[in-house]
Amino acid sequence: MSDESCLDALLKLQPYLDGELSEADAEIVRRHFELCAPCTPALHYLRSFKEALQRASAQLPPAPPELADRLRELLRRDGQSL
Amino acid sequence: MQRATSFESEAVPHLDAVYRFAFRLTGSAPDAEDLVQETFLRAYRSWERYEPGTRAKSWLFTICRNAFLRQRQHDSRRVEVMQKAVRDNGGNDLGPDTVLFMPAYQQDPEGTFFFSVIDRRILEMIGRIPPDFREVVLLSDLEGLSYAEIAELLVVPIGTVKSRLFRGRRMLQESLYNYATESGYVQPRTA
Repeated sequence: MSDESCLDALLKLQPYLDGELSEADAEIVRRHFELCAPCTPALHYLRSFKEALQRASAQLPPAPPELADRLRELLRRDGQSL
Repeated sequence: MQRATSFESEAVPHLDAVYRFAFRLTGSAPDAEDLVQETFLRAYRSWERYEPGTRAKSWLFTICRNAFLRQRQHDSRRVEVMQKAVRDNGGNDLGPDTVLFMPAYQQDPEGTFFFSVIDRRILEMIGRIPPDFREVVLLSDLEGLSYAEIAELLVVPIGTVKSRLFRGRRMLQESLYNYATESGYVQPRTA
């Protein structure tokens, strides 16, 4: 793999993992990381990073249970006053 | 009645997501609850402007963020330095070192150490990166918005979204690596 194609793939790696590339570009990136042994770890590294963030986001607190009811009451009263 | 029904079915299901976003913006549960209530009230009052079937979540996030910023205008703190840096770069100056934090990558190419850092530490580290970068990381990595949605929400070019997101992620990689090293999860690489 040429240095140029490695650099290009690396710069497209995040948009690729974010699902932001066209199908054609995504396929080029996918193949590069499949075939280029020196570059393959970068894919795993960033995937691990993203997965860790997504796992952490599951720990964010949900809305308190009573907030939905308070909200509905607020909107109901607002609907009557409008 | 129809408005209430459609609002209930399209907007209210995003309550948890808006609360999480509000919590990250305000840093406090009571302030987040107030911000959520203001957000949904504003959204309800302008419901006729919302196009059914489009992304209610990003629309609510936009209202939430604007409400938060209006509140914060009373606060004289401004984070100009990083905003200026990003504007000057214009999103066109991204090199490999903005993709991977190299010391961490060289030490642990598979990124396995990320899983040794417990979740609340990760959330803590996210909270410490500068606000302009943190905001984009939250919207993309935690809430799953697209670059275009984030650009529309923040009223910035997509290039700026990418620049802030990639730099924010890199900052986070660095702080997670430093934390993992200090905690002994990773042995620092000697030169």
